[in-house]
Amino acid sequence: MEGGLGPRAMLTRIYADNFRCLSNFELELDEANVLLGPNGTGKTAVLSLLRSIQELVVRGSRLDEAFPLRDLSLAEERPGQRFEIEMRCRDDAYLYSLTINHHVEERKMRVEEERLEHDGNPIFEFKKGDAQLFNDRYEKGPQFPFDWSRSGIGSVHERNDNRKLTGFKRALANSVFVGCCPPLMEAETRSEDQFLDPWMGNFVGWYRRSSNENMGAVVDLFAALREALPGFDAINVTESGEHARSLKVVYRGTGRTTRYGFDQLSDGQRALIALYSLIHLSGDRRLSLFVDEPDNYLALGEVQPWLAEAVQRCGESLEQVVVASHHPVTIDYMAGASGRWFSRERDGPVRVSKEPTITLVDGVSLSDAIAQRWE
Amino acid sequence: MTTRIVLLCEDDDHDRFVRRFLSHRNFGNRDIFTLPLPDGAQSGEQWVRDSYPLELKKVRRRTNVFLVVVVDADTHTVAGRKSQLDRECDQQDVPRGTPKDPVVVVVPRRAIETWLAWLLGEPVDEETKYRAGVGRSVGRRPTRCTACVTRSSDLRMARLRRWSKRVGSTAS
Repeated sequence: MEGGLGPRAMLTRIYADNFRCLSNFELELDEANVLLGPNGTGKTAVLSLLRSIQELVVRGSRLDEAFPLRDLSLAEERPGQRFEIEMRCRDDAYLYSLTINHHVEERKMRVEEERLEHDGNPIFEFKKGDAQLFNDRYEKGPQFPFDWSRSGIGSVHERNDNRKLTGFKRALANSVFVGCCPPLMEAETRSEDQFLDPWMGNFVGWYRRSSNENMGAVVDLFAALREALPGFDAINVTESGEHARSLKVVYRGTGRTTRYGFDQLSDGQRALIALYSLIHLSGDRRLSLFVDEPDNYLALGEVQPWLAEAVQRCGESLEQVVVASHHPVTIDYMAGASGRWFSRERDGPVRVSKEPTITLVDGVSLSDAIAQRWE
Repeated sequence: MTTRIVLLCEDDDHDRFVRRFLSHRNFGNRDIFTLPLPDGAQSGEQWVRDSYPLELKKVRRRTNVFLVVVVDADTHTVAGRKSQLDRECDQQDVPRGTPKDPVVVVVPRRAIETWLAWLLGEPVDEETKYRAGVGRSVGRRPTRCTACVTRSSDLRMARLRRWSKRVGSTAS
C-alpha cells in the first residue's frame, strides 16, 4: 500500500506473556467481537494491555508508567514480558513486538527489544540500546542510541519516507480502549482531550474536542440520542469559568425547555450519551472501539440497538468493535458468531477459544446456558 | 404507535442485511429486535425452523409487531424452504402462516452470501456457494445500494418490498 496504513486498519492478533493473568496468551480478532467468560479470566486485562501499548507508543508515556511492576504476573517469577500485536490494512500486515525486562530489586525496567514489521519487512528495530530506522522501501536508515525507558517508535515523527511507520502509530492512536463508568465522568473540563481516560472520566473534554472536529457528525449524534432519550434535544458546551467548559444537556418537555448539567443526569443517561458519542463522533478518524462492559448501565431495551449500530458501522465510520461483556443480550446477539470465550483453570493461565466452552443444548440460548453454568 | 420488528434469522450476516435493508425503509436499530442467534449446537436453519412456530404464535397476539424470518435456501428451492416452515407449524400444532399474518419469510437463494456478493458487484448465480463473510471483508464497499436488491426480481425480494410498504414506512 502506498503511504502507510491509510484509513482502514484492524487489530487481528494479540499475544501477551507475563502480563497480569495472561501468560503465553494469544487472541485473534475480527471486525466485531465479544469477549466473554467468567470473572477473572483476563478480558479486561486484554483491553488494559492494548491501552498500555498505546500509551507507550503513541502517547509518549515512560515504560514504568505504561507497564508498572504490578502488571507482572504474580503466578510467574520471570522478570520478562513480551507482547505482539498484528494489524491488517487491506492486504498489508503490521507486526509490532515489544520485550520488556523488569529489574525487580532495583525497581527499574527497560525495553529489551522493540520491533515493527510491515509485510514481513522490518521498518523499525530497537535492540541493546540502539535504534535502527528504515524507510518505506525497507532500506536501512540511520542507527542511533536510544533511551531504554521509552518507545523508539513513539519518538519518530512523520516524514515523506516513513509513512508506513507513522501510519501504524496513527492507527493505534485511533483506537479507543475504555470502560464506560458514568459515576466517574466529570461534568466540567479545562481541556480538549484526544484520548479518553480508562473509565471515560474525561468524557466531556473528549466530547469538546471531538464535536469541534466533527461538526457534521453532531447532527447524527443528536438524532440518535433523541431516539434513545425521550425529550432529549441537544448538547451544549458552555463556558463555566476561566478556560473551563461544562456540558449541558437540553431537554424539551411540553412547553418548556430544561438545561441539565451532565452531572444532573442519571448514570444510564450519561452512559447512553457517551456510548453514542463514541459511535457518531468517530468522524474521519474512523475509530476502533474496544469497550469494557458497555451494557452495564443501560436499560435492557437499549443494549441491542447500541450494539447493532456499532456493528453496522464497522468498515464504514468505525474500523472495529470489540466489547467485553457478561450481559445476556450482548451474548445472545454477538457470541454465536463473534464470541471469544475466555477460560482459566483455577489460578492457571488464561486460554481463549472461538468455540463456546460450555455445553450447548438445542433450544437453549447461550446466555441461559451460561447462567445455568452448563460446563 | 411505533411498528416493531422481531427478526428471526440464521446468523449475523442475515441480521446485518435485514437491518441495513430496513434502514432504507426508515426503520432504525431501535425498531428491530433480533432474537438470540444460534449458538453452534445446531445449524442456523434448524434453529430458525424450530423457533418459527412459537414466534409466529407470539406475533399474532401482539399489535404493531412484525416478524421477519430469514433462512437460506441452500440446496432447496424457495418454495421448499417455506414448506418446511409450514410443516414445522403442523408438527408444533400452530396454524400455518397466512398472508394476513404480520410475517415475512425471506429466503435468499442460494444463501445471503449470494446477495452480498451481488451487492459487491460480483456476477452471481443461485447455485454457487459463495464464501461466508463476503460482506464483511475489510475495504470492500457495496457497489450497489442494499435497497437495490428489491429492484432485482431474480433476487426474490419483491415480497419484502411489498411488506415494508404494508407496515406503513416510506421508502427512502
